[in-house]
Amino acid sequence: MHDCQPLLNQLSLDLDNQLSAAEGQTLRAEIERHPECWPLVRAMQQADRAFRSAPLLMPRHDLAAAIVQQIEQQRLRDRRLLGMTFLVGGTLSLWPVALAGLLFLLAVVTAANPFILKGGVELLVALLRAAHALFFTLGALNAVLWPWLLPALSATLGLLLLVLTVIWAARVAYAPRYAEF
Amino acid sequence: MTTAHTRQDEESPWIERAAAGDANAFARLVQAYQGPVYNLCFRMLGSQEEAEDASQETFLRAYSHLHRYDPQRRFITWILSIASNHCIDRLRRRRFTWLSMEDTPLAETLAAHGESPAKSAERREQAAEIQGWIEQLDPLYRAPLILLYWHDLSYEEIADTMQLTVPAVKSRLHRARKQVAELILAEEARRESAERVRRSDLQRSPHFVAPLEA
Repeated sequence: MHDCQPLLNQLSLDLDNQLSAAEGQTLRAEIERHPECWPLVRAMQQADRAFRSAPLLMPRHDLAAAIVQQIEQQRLRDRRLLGMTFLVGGTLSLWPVALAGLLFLLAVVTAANPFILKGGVELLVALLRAAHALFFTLGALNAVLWPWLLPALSATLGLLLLVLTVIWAARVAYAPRYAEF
Repeated sequence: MTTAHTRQDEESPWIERAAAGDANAFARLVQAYQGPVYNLCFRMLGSQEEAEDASQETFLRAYSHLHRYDPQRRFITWILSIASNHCIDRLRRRRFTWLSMEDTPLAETLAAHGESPAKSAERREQAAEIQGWIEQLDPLYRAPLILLYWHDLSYEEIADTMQLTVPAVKSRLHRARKQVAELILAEEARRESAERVRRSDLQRSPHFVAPLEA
């Protein structure tokens, strides 16, 4: 039984016009000499004709519009993500600026009159004492009742503070008319 | 090839503008290449819905990676390489749950140009047969075959699209063709056998009337 593999290999190249005229003639002569390969040769040629006559399939008419719309949506999503990143970054960057400004103001005021903030300092001390008492109580409750009470409370407060700052920044500092990226 | 280069030259400004973020320029590229991309996806996946989904994904990926496009390369080979990689990934995920041809609304995809119902039925049957052959091929052999027959890409361009060497492309094309030829022969053998069984059943039937001898 003749091995048809090399012959089919050459036929595949011939179907793609990769053989010279002489090579093509040699191939045809070789095929003539091996009738046991004829069914495979015929089937390969039949498949080639079928593939060449098959049309290019076209998509539904609105596919391009759907793709463009999806890309537009992705662009919007990217833009929103970029906007949010800037917003949060900007918001966080406001804290050190505000703190630095406040400290500068305090330094200027106390330098001029060291006793001007006496009432304020007393109030601050009272507030700190109240906060200390509150945290002491919460700490005791935390130890007795639920070990995650304090971390959860701190996280909630921190998140609330961040959300409030973001809302403030979005409405005031980075109002839509200035937030066009 | 000259036409291809002319087209490439015409499209270069659109590609540049699209890469710079111009959505209208990209829309024009989508319009120009939706046919080839959809055809490749349909031939690879065998389902209209999946092909549309894969085409959308291909263009989305192309849009987000447009800055990586090398202008020395033909745009069609670049976008078809994204499509073929995506389709091969999908086929790998799908594994062996092939879609049957009954699920494939190929007839709706093939536009009929005022031909007779018989001709149209014949064409649909042939189209389904061709799609059936392709779907039985290994996914790695499908892509070069489709790129060669439906997109007229050269061996070098197929190699570029699939990140293969030219001898590997030749080998895959040869194997794909051989597999299809074997499928054709198996189908013919099955039909012949079914026909023999039908004839022998008919002869054994009590209502069978033997032809009168002259």
